[in-house]
Amino acid sequence: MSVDAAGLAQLARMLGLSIPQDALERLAPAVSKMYADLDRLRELPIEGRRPALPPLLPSAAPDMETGR
Amino acid sequence: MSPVALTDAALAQIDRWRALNAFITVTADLARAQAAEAAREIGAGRYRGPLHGVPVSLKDLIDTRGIRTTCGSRVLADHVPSHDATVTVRLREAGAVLLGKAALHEFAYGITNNNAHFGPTCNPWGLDRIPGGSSGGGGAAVAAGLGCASIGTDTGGSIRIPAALCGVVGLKPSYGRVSTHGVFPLSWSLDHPGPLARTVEDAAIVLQAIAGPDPHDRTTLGQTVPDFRAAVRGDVRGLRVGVLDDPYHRHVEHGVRIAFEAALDVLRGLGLRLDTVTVPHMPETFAAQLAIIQAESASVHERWLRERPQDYGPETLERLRHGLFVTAAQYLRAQRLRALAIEEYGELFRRIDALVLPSVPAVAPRIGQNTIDLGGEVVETRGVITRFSRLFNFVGAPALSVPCGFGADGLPVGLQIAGRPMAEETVIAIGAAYERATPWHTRRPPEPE
Repeated sequence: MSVDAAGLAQLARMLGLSIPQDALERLAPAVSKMYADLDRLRELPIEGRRPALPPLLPSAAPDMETGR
Repeated sequence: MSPVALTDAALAQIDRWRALNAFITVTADLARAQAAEAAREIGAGRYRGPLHGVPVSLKDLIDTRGIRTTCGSRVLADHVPSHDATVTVRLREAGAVLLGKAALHEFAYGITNNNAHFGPTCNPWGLDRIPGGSSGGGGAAVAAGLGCASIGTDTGGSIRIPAALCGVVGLKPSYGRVSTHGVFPLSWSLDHPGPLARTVEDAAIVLQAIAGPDPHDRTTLGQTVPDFRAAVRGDVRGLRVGVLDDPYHRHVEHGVRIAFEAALDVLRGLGLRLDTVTVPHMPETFAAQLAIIQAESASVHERWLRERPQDYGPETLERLRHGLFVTAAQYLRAQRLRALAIEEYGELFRRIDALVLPSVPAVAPRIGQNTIDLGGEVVETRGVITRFSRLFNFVGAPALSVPCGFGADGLPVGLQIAGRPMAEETVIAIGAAYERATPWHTRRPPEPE
């Protein structure tokens, strides 16, 4: 999934933001890369997992092998 | 040394090292008054503990009632909080003396401390070098003796990076160990307040003071707080230590590699059992973490992005705007991967007690240096500097950086020790044992002329 400056401008307008054209043009390649990176997360075994929200309260359980 | 003499000495150092630009606000009058009060209390037999009368600083995104808290930005240049952060309250109750508010990367969103509004902070080991960030003022201050400790925050390495690049100790506790109430967020689910100090024991003492449940921050509830200072003398013989060895962790500067391998020899000599391990999915993990930081920080700043974009530095503005374009589905996908990463980290720690790796793959770059050469691989500075630290924010695990030698140009190198969530005692014990066996924490940068 890639996005260009015009697409970002449209998204920005939906958020009620006005972002200058030159800034959108700088952002577009970085946002496209981010979208591609995040697309790849689908290839990992995350189906059926709940998001880590709220952040999981850590366990203080000691390792039974060492007793520490 | 009396609190008054100690505080006067720290204030004199702040004056001597003005070129560092380590502070945004120095609270000299308050510090002298607090030191005098501490001296009176101690003299009257009301000793509060090891931080009583000890001068410290706070990163300038930690609220201090009645004292300007800028977050390193023009957006909050005149902001004077009406309440203290929980860590501020706890340090005051422990009797600590507040020297001032330490410089940071704007809104903690970066690792160089090149601040568009307040100027760059410099590294005391080389004034042309960055101190690392975003808690760079704290790292530079502690290294140069501008106070005994500083409280920073760490979202992807922002305590450990300046600790490593400035040659001091930095401890990022577990997620939920220290309250973030009154700490301006960069990324709610990744932010961790913690100490920078000269020694592991000092860091443990500060952590003891600021840790624990806080009804204002529900992520802190339900914990029991161990005796961190006692952990400094903990027995480390026989502990199983994983040495991260995968493509993501192999690329380091030559000098860092040498220092790290020497540190591994020291750990073996201390009786630890070392074995190589890998962590899966590192590139995907970092993509997910970046998306979470971007989305959460954009949410924090959404109103100001709409109303006051001109008050941000250009780099911060661009990063925050980037985050506006993370979709809800992508954000939740990233958090689902995080659940997987937490599980896999837990699995790894069924076989080991701690992980070790360099804190940062390179020594401090020059101010304005955008790329770093890692043995022929030229990479963007920001990505390199956070490469070894950010995993532990993602999984909420404690991670400690201790000085482990010097690399290129005589600049400090840090050894990072990470543990299982809520097991700070283990990383403290290993870090302190390493520190006792090596001289690196005793080295100081040369005083300015």
